[in-house]
Amino acid sequence: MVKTVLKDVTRRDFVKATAVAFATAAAAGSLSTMVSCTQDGTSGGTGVSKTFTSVCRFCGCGCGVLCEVANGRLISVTGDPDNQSNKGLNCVKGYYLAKVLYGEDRLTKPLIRDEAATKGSGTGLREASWEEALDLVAEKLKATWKEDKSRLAFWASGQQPIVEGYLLSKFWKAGLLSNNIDPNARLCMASAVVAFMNVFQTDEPAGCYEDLDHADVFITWGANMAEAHPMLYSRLTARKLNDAKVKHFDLGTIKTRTSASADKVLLFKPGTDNAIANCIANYLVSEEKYDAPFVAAHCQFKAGTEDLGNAYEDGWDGTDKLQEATGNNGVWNIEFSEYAEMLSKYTFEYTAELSGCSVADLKQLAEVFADPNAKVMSLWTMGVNQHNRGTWMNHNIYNIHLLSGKIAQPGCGPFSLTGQPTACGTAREVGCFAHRLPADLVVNNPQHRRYTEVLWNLPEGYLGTGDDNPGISKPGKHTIKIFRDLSNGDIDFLWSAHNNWAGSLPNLTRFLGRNTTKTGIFDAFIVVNEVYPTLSTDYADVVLPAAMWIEREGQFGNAERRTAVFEKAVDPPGDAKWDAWIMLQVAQRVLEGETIGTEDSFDLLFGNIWDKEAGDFISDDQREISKIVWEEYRTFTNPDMVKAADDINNDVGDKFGVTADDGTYTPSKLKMFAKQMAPYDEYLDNHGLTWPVREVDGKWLSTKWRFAAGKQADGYDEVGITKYGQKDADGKLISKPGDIDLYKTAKFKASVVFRPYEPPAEEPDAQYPFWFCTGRLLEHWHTASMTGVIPELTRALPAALLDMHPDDCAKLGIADGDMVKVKSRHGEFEIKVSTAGRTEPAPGVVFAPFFDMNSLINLAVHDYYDPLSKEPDYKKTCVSIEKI
Amino acid sequence: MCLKAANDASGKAAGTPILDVREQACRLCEDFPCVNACPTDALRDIEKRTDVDMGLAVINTETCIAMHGMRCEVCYRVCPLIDKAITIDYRLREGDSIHSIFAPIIDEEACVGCGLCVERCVVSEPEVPIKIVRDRAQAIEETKRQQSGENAD
Ligand code: SF4
Ligand code: SF4
Ligand code: SF4
Repeated sequence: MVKTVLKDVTRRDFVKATAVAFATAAAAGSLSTMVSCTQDGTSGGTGVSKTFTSVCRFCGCGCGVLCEVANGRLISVTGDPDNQSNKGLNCVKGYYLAKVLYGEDRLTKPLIRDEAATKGSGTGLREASWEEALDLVAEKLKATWKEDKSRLAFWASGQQPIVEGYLLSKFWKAGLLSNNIDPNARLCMASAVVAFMNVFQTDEPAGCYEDLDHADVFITWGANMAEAHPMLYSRLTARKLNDAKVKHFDLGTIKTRTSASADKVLLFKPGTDNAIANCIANYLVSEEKYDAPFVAAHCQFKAGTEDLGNAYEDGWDGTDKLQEATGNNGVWNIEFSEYAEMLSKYTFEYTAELSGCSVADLKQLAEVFADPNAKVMSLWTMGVNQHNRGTWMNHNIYNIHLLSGKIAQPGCGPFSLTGQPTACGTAREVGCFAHRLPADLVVNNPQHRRYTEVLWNLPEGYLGTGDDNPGISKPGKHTIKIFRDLSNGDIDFLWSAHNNWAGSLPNLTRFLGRNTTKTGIFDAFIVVNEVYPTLSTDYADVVLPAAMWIEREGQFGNAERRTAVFEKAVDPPGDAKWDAWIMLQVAQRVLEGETIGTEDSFDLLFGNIWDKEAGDFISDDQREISKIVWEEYRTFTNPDMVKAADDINNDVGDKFGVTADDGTYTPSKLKMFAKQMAPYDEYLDNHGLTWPVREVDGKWLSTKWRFAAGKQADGYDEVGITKYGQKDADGKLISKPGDIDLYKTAKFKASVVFRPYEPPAEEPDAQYPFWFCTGRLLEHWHTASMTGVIPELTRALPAALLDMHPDDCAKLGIADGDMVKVKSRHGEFEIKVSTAGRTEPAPGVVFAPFFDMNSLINLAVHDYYDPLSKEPDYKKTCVSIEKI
Repeated sequence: MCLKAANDASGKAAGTPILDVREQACRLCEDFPCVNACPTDALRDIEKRTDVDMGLAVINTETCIAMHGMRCEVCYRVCPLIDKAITIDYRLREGDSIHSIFAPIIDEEACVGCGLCVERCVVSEPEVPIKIVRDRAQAIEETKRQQSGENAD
């Protein structure tokens, strides 16, 4: 056994142990950097260091870290031992986090490209002043806005702190009256979001990370958690070590490092997971092994439009079929018996034949859900979401958990993992989607728009009332639509922040205008906020250097609904600026002379934080600015803070409900408290809190298990259920501790929607005989624009490899280490083959990670997307492989 | 090529092929171009990867960050003989019921000493926690000492 295990360490001991005793480079490496950098005379500090609490910049695990700063420089980052989730531990990315600020070519000056023809060439950008760059960006944005606002777009991010995302959403939706704003989270979480809304009428999971400590069975669905969620996987593994009876089933199309420690691996043919989930449901229903009382109390049954086709053509969204599927008539009620009938096709034999899994394995998996005592946790991310029927697969996972009553209890429930640190907190919660407003509200609902108008001090009807005055009542362009339009020459102005679309989008051959006539990228005016040069900055007309991570104050919201604040600890380098500052500078210029009602637009929207005369924030203190913005955002989830909003929330005046034929009126209640957020300081004091956060006896308490009856102080949803829960005729709550109450749904019932198996958008043929699956590996974060500057991580994983099955290699005469050309109908790239087995694809399947901008695998990945979520399927492009 | 010629300082006859695995490990190429290229037969009798014997990797449990609960295991994931030459021993972290240690363990039979794990290890200071010991007996001895914790402090 290891002798140096840290027992009951105090924070000081721990920091000492990790930073000094390990004598390793996360701390020590940057420590030596610090020495050399402080010797250059740039700082005359005292040498006394200060420690700030923070959250890791990278993945959705959201590990807490402590940042030690001396002489204005970050000298070490260590895991925060007080953080209940990671308890001082990190993965290797977090371990070297200190170095992310100090990579060699940080962007420190605004850059302008004078010749569009130099885009993509690696040259052509010149330094400029902020004044020149901001004027230029504002002039172009304003010109496009005035001429035709369908031709502008913002690509936002699940890595953008909450306050920045909120301000952006307000500027775009209220300031510009544009819904052409969509985040990179469209590429990762959209399918999860649509299913959450369809099934529960509220986004984000009922459970929390603590469920990992209590489950009896784990099922990973197409998720390489061991690499993509390293610290959560450590937690899952610990649960298994604590109790030998705990089992882990890993389902996927390739064997991964997650499979390596699973008890049972089910490899299925790409796309057939929808059949597998239906097979489990069929077993539960046909053998009467479902939880009948739970189903009677908490479920309603539905079916939806089928046979949807795929996004081969740009106009697919507009086809009758898609209009039907995404409209009010896309889903209808059915009887339980009809649901049973629809499922009946998914026998073990049929599903085994289709999926390639054995009948015995499928039975074993189904039995897990039939065991009334087993606490089962399903975990999934990109395998399920980046799927041409990804929304359906999210539905199907909920279906089996609902049929078996395994939901919203400690250790038991479906848990949708997020990859990005604030995909939930920002992209989803503050409304950076083409169809959303803050706090789960949507643009095409009049009551939601009216509620938002009140909180943003906008005149009634300003956000739109219908066809004569559309405002923002119609959703804008989703991500793939934005970039398809861009490539077709139908976007004139594109702005992005906190993402690297030129590396992360699918179908880059088309979107980067290579080997195609679709070269709109060269004509559009593109603005990129960035911290390091990326492929996206190489296509930008203006690059705006941004403060990164703890160079400003920020807030992240992770997968377990946990909102956490990270403090500003150091200044950004050179002329780099806080994104919020950049955006408001542009907003001030674009909105100059514009009015909303009788008021100046800019002042109405941002006058509470920005001094127009001074051309800057009203205070240098980012904490103060963040608090003001947070308090404003918080009114969305605390309607009692604004009476007029609360009236809309409760439908006072009977404006938004339904009147039946007999004249009885059913009001429409928004139940905005269901997402309640706490005052800003509470997040600092508590190292983060999970919403809904409830004030009980003067204390703000997290909710760990939404919809679960029990005491708020123990993490249950007591306040929410008391307020909105189902009551009997005497007005007494029906649920008892241990029960659930799905109070956000209209009838207190989750929707079990039958969603069938439909084939992937492409299937292998003689010309393109392999499935190509893409993903993320532990050492690098996304396109490595940040981890790529950390020498230790580049040493660890310098280049992407194409993992192949040895039999496939033998057939093609390819040896381990050979370079090959991977070609699809959409594009091609070159890469080195590995048969070592880090991931072990089945014959006919190959895998490569997307971090490596030299191989740029997305050149070949198709951009066909899920019809309901518009999220592209990065996992199933068909390719040929040829030795070069 | 992975090999370079020894210089006088290495203690080997000048020109003898050596590997500085931290800089460039043996890639365990399937077709062993180095063996074919060798004019003197100094590299020979290698037909398949498992014939290679360049020593044995040894992990310092003090300085290896995975041993302290960090999710690293870079050496494991790059090993050309993953799950054979290096395996992961999953252990509960002492004093912490919700995290485990993913401890990389070298298999003394399977490891061929190619050094790719050393090349890629993320730690440099005060030393690289994983190294190749050419003498297998000595390597096994060292690993034993490491695991019994003798060299700790
Ligand atoms: S990358 Fe993820 S797992 Fe690794 S330290 Fe950061 S938050 Fe934790
Ligand atoms: S030296 Fe390292 S990489 Fe090479 S076989 Fe041994 S353990 Fe694997
Ligand atoms: S790469 Fe180095 S630090 Fe990481 S687990 Fe292996 S030996 Fe330990």
